Amino acid sequence: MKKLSEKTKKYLSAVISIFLVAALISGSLIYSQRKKDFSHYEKSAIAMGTVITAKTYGENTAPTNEAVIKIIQQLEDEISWREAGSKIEKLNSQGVVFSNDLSELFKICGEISEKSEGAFDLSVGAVSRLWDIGGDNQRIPSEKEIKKALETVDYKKIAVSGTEISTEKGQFIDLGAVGKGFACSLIYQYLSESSVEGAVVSVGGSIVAFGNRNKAEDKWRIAVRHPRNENAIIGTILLSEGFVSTSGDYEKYFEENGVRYHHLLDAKTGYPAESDLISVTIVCNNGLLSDALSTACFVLGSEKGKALAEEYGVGAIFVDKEEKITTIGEVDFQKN
Amino acid sequence: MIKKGDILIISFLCIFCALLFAFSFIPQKSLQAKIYYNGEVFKEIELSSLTEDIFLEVGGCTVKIEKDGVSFVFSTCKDQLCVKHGKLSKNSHTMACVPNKVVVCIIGSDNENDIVAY
Repeated sequence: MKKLSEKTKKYLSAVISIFLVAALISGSLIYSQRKKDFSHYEKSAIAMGTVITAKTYGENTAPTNEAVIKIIQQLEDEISWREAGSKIEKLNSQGVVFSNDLSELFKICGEISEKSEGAFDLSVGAVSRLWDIGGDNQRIPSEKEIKKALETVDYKKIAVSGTEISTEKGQFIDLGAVGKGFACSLIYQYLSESSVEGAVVSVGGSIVAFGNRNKAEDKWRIAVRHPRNENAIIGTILLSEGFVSTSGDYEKYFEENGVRYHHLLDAKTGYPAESDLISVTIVCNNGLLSDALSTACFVLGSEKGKALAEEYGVGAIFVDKEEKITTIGEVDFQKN
Repeated sequence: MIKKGDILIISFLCIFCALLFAFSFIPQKSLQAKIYYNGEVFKEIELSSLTEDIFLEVGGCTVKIEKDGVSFVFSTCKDQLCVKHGKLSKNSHTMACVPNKVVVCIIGSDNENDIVAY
């Protein structure tokens, strides 16, 4: 084999070196570009009595944020018992209403009520209205008032037939435990039909994660609040797409004589649930389900709540009164 | 043959590339406070640029903006939950005075977390 001349060797060395350096630079740039987030827009507002934050990623997604907030406001007009003319206000005053979307919601909720043995019950409205926790007239009702209100609480008396939803006279429906999660499901549907690359939207304690924030398809990082320190988190959920809902005794409450009266009412006793848990987070592929199950598991407590979460095959993070964190099912959770 | 000088130049370029690559991942720690009133942006402030504290009057609330965070110091609301909340200082954290429709968000570019489940 012919030996290379000194000049050719030098030339080859230079070419190889330049090629290596160029490959390194372009590789680095391509990788960092893949990790670089799409441009994004953010908006916050108040609706459904809570804070809404919408973060959408992609080209000019500011109008998507506006649309997302409008979806929540329109849903509030439709399902809030406080809104005159809303479907739930009509159901409570007339005992019957027709709705395709809501009949599905009532069917799913009826199943959760059954499986949670009534710990979760949409007909708890008469009791929650008495307490009005987080409202202008929050107070501890008398035992007599609670006993009377409890007579109207029974999910078995809510009937769904086709698009018709009917209740027994005197029953009062409150969708407070599922409205925010239901909103997240509607937002996911809207985002799927839009041109956004990715989005995370929080409606109070319920969150929807959609698509991607960069080309590297990094998972969304959803922090879970510490139940006893509003400025700290207990850890982070890593999620590609899906729904996260948290229910805790710290969201809406008042204290009297050193006792905390929170908004998660036990439909059987009519009092705030005396759970061994202080926070429940559910991760699954349905917003309505995540919201309903977070309430149901909280009221049931750690043992029965775990069984319910496992029955539905969802991921869950429980925090008990000793602030011990337990994860259930498949949830990618990094503790702090 | 590759000489000592060539190796030095290649090593220098490799180190330069590695540093360039590493710098693109160093989180930017600058934090911004965004205050919304009634669904519209009322004020945006880069916290590190503050030379003195700001007291912002918005929708029945007084919001104190400091270099290291933001807090509600007064509100006309009945429950006073916003005032009890304390100082907000971490990226993606949010607090609000719901009755007065005032929302405070901390926005950073460090991508530590995307959103917080409250």
